[in-house]
Amino acid sequence: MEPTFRASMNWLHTWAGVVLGGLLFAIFWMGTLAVFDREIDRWMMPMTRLEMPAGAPISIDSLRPSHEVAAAARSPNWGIIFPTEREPTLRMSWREGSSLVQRFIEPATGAVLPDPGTWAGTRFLYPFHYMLHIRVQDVGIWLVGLAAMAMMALCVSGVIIHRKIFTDFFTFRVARKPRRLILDLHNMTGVLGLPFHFLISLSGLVIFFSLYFPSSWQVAYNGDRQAFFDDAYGTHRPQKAGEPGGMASFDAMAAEARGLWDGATLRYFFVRNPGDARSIVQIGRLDQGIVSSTYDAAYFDGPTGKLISYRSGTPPVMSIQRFISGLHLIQFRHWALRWVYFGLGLVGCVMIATGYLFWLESRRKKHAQLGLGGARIVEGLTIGSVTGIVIATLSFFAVNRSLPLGATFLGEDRAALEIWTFYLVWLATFAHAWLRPGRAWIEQCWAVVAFAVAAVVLNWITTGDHLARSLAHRHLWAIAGMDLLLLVAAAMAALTALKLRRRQATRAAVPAPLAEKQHA
Amino acid sequence: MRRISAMQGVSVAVRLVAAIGGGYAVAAGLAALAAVVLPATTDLPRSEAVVLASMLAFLVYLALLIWGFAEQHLSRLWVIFATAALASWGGAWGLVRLTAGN
Repeated sequence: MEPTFRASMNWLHTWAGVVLGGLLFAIFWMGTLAVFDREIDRWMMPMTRLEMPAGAPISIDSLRPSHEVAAAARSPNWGIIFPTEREPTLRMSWREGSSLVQRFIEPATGAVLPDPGTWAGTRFLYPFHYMLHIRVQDVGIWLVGLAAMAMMALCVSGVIIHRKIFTDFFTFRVARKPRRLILDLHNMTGVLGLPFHFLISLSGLVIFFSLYFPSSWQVAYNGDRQAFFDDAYGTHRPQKAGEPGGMASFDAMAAEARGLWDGATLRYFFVRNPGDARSIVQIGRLDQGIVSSTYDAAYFDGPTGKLISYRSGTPPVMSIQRFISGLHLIQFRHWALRWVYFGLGLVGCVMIATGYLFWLESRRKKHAQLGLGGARIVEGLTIGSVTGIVIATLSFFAVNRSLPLGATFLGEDRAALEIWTFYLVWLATFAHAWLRPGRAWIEQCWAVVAFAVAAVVLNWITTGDHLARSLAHRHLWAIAGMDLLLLVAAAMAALTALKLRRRQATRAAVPAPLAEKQHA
Repeated sequence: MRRISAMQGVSVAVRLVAAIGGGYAVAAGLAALAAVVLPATTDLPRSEAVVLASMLAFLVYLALLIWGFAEQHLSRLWVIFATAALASWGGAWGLVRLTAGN
């Protein structure tokens, strides 16, 4: 479209970045947090800060009363997820009408823990990352898909427009003017994270291949999605008999499933159509030792407890799909790699933010001269998208540690109040950014400091798990990690605010034409 | 910094629809075609062909997106995308009808 290929790619890079940068930052930020979603869960649900039991797991049959409740409520399923090192509670769930009921159980005793009243990391932050909590017509998932495609296009166009990609990687001109520094930082984070950014976008899309490119199964399977899933995943189509039926021993089925996989640990135990004469029990295996996100499962006939079929190993193409998905979902056990993902996620956030800043710095003066409002609008958008979502997330943490269990307000329960806080605070940061240009960055940095420190202090007050205590107990390291990261974030935000203010002060002290020379 | 004229605005909008919408239509059509052709011509099972076709479609779409923004002639872009979409969807649909008839 532009005269040369490189100029076209420059146009694409600039405008895709400006239009989708805010969405991309939100997705990257939430994805980075989701790397530690279960640790965030434990921080936000103090009743689940348990030690992993050393002894044998509790009997699944002892949880039968809750299965009967689910059967009576005609829930389409009833399931439990077994504890792991990162999630030391047993999670039980079923549906009552349209709402999901979740119970957390202490694995050592079988005692039901009090309702945590929060969606925390796994139900709020993590789904936000891939569907933005916009369920209507899957709009959220499609928007994230579009953003991921744009991210790959941004990676490609970024490499093309970058003339000296290798030498520039070693160039970081701290002492130079801010615009040059921002561009250097954008280039450095962009090149450093390039393989990660490209692969994390592609693998995220590949997880939902059947949703984003349904044409393949629609044509090959004549529009029957379930038939494709039966073939590809070996799933069993649960068919209701419509008559009540019994249920064989849970523990016996679980033991048989373990035997099928040479004594492997189990991940979950699901009953499809509980209470029905044709109920099916699906038992999944836990595989934390490999990258692939496996879906090995055994199916049992509920009333008789007889094995229907089981799956172990996958065909070649599907194994590639599971490996790529596993790369993205990081359910494997590797703490060093988990931190690398977290770090590269933050690198991505810096890259997106500096891309925005570079656009602003290169246009601010010209826009002001021409009387165009573009730079101001984009600056507000940038502030709300970058510091705004960080503040909103921190307010989500702080309000979680302030509301008592069972709190309600205006008919909304505790979990909903936390989510309302997140969205309202986020909205307020945009308003603030547009209302106070020139000051918004500094003030929002101070808001980050305030909320982050408040979250740490509130956690101490409400749970007694201060840093000295959480660092001393191994099962509280997740809490210590969260508190420490919050404090590091507060320190970095405070430094940024001070530095920005000093720069503003020097700019104000020097007569305007001189300042232009120094900083433009 | 120049102001954008109305003509430029229209041409950008037409290009966005062509590159994003047209590119997707072609990538999805090629995925459908591959999902039908592969099991018929190789010993790849049907479900495996579907997974492979859908996964590769992301890379095809990426390439089409890049080309969609690089091609200077909007008309050529539209003609090629329309032809490719018609051919791939038509081919996939025709093959399904053909094999179903047997």
